[in-house]
Amino acid sequence: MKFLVYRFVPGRDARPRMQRYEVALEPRDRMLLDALERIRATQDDSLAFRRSCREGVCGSDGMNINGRNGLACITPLAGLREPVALRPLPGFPVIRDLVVDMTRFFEQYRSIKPYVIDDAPPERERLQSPEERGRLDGLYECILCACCSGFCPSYWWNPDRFLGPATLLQALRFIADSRDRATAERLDHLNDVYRLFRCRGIMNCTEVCPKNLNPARAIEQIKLHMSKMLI
Amino acid sequence: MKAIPGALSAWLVQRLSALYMLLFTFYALGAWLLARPTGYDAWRAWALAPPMRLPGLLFSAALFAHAWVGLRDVLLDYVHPVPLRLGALGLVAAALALTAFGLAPLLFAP
Repeated sequence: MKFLVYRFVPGRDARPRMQRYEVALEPRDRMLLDALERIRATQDDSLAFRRSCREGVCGSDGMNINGRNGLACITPLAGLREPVALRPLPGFPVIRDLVVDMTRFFEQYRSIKPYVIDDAPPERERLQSPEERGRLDGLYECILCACCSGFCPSYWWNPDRFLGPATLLQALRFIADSRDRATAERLDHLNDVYRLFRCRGIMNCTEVCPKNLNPARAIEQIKLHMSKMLI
Repeated sequence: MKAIPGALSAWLVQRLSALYMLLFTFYALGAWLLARPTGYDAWRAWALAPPMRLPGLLFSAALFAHAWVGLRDVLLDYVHPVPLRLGALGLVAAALALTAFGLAPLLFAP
């Protein structure tokens, strides 16, 4: 199978290049990550990419696959157009080859205080009705792979100030949590022309989310929560 | 109702003005189909009659508000140097103001 892989080491290489590989796959190589491991094991051990769980849970191997962001470990090789073009997540600074710098992404994640805030905790556990718990469905499943943020033009133009779809989906996860007592502060923090309102609703995020979540809808819901606070 | 804070106000203006313009389009189309004016004088009388006049004025206001928020958003997205952005925002504001000034004699015709 033929691959074209983005190669770049900042500081060493003058500019990025696309390196061609042709690899003989074995029957058990079913996912794109298997092919990358095969290339590294048999042809080029200098090729850098992240991986960990290899089953779509850790979100480490987000990359641009034939022009579309996705996780290498759950992308079947069957059906991929050849040569398979692999690039790092667009809009993220490259550390080496397919490995990108996620520092800013996780700083933005931290900025929305991704934990339940309750200054007066109860004597026992915080109870939730099934309906209240149900409001977190479609939100808590996010694995922070950044495939959505790396496919969002608004995030490409303003990555330092727009929080991006992944972080905003996580923000709604805590706004929607019935146990959280900081909803007003959270909404106030997001009510900013850059942090939330750079989203143009083009829905690239929803299109590429490997977990089939809907960050675009989450962003609209945050705006509706804000509007409801006015009444 | 509390004062609308922060960036939410611009978003609400954009959404509400779009909704009003959509409703006005259907209303104006219906009114036009009922009246079917022919010729400049009939069109003018139709547009300036009470059923169209105030909704038409509100449509113009909604259009200007919508255009301002939309163009401001484009400039916030793409024009990052502050002096350049302020200049571009000034140009947009001037263009909208001049257009409104040009339309005023028609909108407020006796």
